[in-house]
Amino acid sequence: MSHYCTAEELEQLSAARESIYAFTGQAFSKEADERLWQAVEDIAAAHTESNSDASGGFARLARYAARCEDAPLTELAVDYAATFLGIGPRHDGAFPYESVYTSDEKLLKQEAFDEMNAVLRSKRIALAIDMVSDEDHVSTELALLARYAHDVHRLLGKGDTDGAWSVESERIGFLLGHAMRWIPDFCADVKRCAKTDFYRAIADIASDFLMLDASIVEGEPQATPSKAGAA
Amino acid sequence: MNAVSRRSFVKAMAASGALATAAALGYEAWKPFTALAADDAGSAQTEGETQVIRSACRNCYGRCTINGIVKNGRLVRVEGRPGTYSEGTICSRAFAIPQLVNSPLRVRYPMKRVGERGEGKWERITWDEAWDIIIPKFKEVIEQYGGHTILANNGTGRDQLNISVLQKCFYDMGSVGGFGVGSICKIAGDFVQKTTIGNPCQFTGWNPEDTNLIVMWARGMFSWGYYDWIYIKKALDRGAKLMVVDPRHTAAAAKSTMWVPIRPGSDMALILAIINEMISSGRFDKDFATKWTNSSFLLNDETGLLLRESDLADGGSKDKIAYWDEGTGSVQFWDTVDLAWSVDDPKPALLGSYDVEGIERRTSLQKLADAAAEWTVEKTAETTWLTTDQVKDAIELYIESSPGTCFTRGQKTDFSDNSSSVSHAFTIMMALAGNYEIPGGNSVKPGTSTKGSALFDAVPPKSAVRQEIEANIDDYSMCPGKAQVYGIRDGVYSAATHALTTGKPFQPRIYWGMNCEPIISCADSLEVAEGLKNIDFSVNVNLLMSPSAELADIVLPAAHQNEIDRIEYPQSGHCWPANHTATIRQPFTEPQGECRDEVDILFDLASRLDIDMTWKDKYDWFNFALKATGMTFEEFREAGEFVDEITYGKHEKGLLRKDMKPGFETKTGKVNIFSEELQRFGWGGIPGYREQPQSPFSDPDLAQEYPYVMLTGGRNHQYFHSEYRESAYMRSIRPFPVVEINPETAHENGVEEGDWVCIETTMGSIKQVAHLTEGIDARVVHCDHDWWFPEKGAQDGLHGAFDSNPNAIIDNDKVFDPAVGTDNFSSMCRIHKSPDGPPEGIFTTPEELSAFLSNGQEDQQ
Repeated sequence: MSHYCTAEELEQLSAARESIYAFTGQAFSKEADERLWQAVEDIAAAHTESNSDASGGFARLARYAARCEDAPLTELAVDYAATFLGIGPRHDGAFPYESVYTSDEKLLKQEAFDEMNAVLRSKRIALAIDMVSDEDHVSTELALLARYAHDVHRLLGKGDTDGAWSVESERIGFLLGHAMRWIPDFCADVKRCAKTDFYRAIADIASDFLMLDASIVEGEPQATPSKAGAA
Repeated sequence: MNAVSRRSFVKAMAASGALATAAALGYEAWKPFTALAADDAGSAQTEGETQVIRSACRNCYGRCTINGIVKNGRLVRVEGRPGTYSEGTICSRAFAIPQLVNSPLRVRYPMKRVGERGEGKWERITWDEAWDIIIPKFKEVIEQYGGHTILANNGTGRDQLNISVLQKCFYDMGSVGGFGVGSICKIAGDFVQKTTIGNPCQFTGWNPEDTNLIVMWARGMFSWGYYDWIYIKKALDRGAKLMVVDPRHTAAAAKSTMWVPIRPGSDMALILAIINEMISSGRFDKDFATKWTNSSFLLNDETGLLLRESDLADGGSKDKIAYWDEGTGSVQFWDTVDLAWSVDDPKPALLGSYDVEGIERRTSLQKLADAAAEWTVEKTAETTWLTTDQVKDAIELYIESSPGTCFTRGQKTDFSDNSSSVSHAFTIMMALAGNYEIPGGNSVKPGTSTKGSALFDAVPPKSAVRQEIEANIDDYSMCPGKAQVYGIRDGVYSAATHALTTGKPFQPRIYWGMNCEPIISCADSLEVAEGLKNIDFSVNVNLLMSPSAELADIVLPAAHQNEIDRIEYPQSGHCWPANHTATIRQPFTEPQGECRDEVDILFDLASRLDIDMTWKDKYDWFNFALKATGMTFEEFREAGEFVDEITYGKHEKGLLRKDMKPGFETKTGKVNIFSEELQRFGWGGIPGYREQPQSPFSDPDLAQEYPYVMLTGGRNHQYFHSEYRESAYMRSIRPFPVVEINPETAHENGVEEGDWVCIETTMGSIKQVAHLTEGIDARVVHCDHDWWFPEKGAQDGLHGAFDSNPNAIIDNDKVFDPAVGTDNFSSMCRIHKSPDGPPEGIFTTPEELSAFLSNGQEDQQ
């Protein structure tokens, strides 16, 4: 069967997906802490050295980090609360839940919440992200994309190419059936509402990578998690 | 891989390359998921299952019984529940429960303010961190300034259990109150009724079954608890009549037999006119008046109180009240301890004055008759802006229908300089007409055998600090010597407001706000906001960020009322059988985020301050409260409801008093036509008319410049005071505050339907949208109350708190009943078309109004 890329390319892509989705998933999951900020400084330094992609999210992140002498944790916590928790100077925000973006009344815990619960149950896993309680939270979905990529990478490493493509097919189904359905719009709202370039940068990175991912896999058969079985 | 994908591939690799240094943030280090065990019940939990959970709505005082439809553990919708008092009826507020439960705007975590007050800068903290800030501050203030400098406010009376716990917790730390709901709501009137008839029953005691006439006085029947109409309709179909006394042609007025469009604030004139006609024509229930009221008790003009045996003879008892006995032709006594007459076959004289040791002594009823005599039909008509025919017809309908008339009123008559006297007058009007404790009248003690709300704050132990304050209340009070009849000490928000802004008589140091929005709901909103900005420390427990929450130091997340357990009690206006039913309110779902039941939060606060709350937790207390029903709370949950049958003539059967003696639970054991409590603390022992401080009659010069009476507080289907302005659903139905204007008045001021209008008082100006209606007098306008605009930022006038809210332009010093400390919700005003349209920054288009919950781009979804 023909796929959108070779097994070698899939292995490289999966590693990239795993790291990008894990990073953005953690950045959206709760307020920045010392650990995250240290990683951001490292990323910014590496980016500045490579001097690539000057207009993208990593460049914006690097510029933000460069402006900060100390870890701006309070500033980021205020921005997090205002942007994602609905607490702040505006009563609009970027609410990080698929239900909010896919329901008529823009509420928490709608059909998407049920669907995400079903996805996790089908995979026999439970949400364990600190400060994230809803299964359709953006961090849950980014974590699941990272998990798929991690499994693909692992299976390819074991030489199970068919198994890897089976998981990839399921990942594509989830990417297009859930993540792409709302996260780009969510990221657009983050860029509109956030006060700091930190969250605008994270939104840029997440959104741009999702778009890339979707464009790469275009035409590839996809499976739903329940049909594909546990990865 | 095609060319496009190839380019994307390269970009993806480049992007991820930046993360090469961030292994600590890799997927394996993160561990965002755990594996479900093979036998994990959670994996199959309720998938696809739909549960129907019985509960009650708490979005108004109606407590309609509802079912929550819960699928996969999430609330899908709410339906009315047939087979109970509310017969399956619900309104938009209940339908909107899932919207609020699942709103992403909810406060779901403890928050700490990190910017200036009102700047809107917050950060999330843990509950432990919150307590670590709160508790030391409480201890410091109690030690340094005393617990009386702590203000506590539960802003709605809909959760009586919550109020009881709040009172217990804060009174025992020494607090003397705060912005109490009482002076906003009906509780001040309740306390007057407790002193005059023993129990509040003007709102809730009515029974349309077998009635001749239903009197609804200033009450919006179709705005809260719609099911009342079911019982009214049955009565009307049977031939009963409905009289609605209201300045506005409300939905209730539209269904009435007689609409009495009284001038705002002049209610007392019509009540006294009814009383005058009853007494002067002899058409009142003399038997009830003789046996069960203190009509016959003689007055001592020297003391201003009732005449006692101790006034007449050395060694006489203070507990024995003199009356003139027509059987013996002599002074005899009513013993207020034994509840017994001094002769076997008493024949108390109701009217007249009698020579007692050389001094003429009037009976209480005679004093009332003398005072009421001036309220002729003509004078009443002139005062109330009614026609003489309307006054006559109202009087005759009431008298001819009694005994057998039931009565219910709204809170509006409490917002008066003469609130206590009006409440007293209503009691007398009903008592003299013989309308209490009979079929078709009012139950004096509506309610159930469950006692939770009445017990919590009444049961010992009381802390030593509390006992010291209660023994010396004037030393600690924010309004010493005033509002003594009001049982919640200093629950008067103008007193709290002034203390905050002036430091007199002392400076409050901590404010704990719960279920409340004093900036929006109290008169002179700007002064309230200024006061809350100045306080040392402030905690706000809330569902959503609001103007006063923006001024807090810590905001704690409250669970939604349908995420917690409660026993729901009848109160505030609803008729039989609702007023004799306790019903279950239980969770549809778990609280969102880290939200907690306010009662649990208070138990936690008390525990951390070493306050003895008597019961270990709310369930311990609920079980105790339900003892008389023979059920535990879990059994009550299963049963769903508990209904007490109506018993008539409870005063004759000893069912109204704790000692089980016949009579009423007052200091005399009778309905007090003359009230010694009100004589001591109010404007007088019998009701009398007082013109309101701001009216065309009392201040004609002001009326030259501000010619219209601004009435506020009318209810509507969408909002409950300050609530639901964030709801896209409610705002789509009633998007703007509405000012009702008579077309004649509108024409004179160049205003047309739908115009934004400036309403101006001496305090300032607000804007509302004009609705022209013949259903309001040309000299009156009615403004929607408690408006704010969540779409505006905290920095933008605390979410537009002063743009359209009439409380922003009402003087909180104009009205103060000395007995119960009521406040003001009315003013004189002028109007003109807004030169610049709506308030700046509010949502006005459908597209904008749909944006409360997300990005305002619904059409792009």
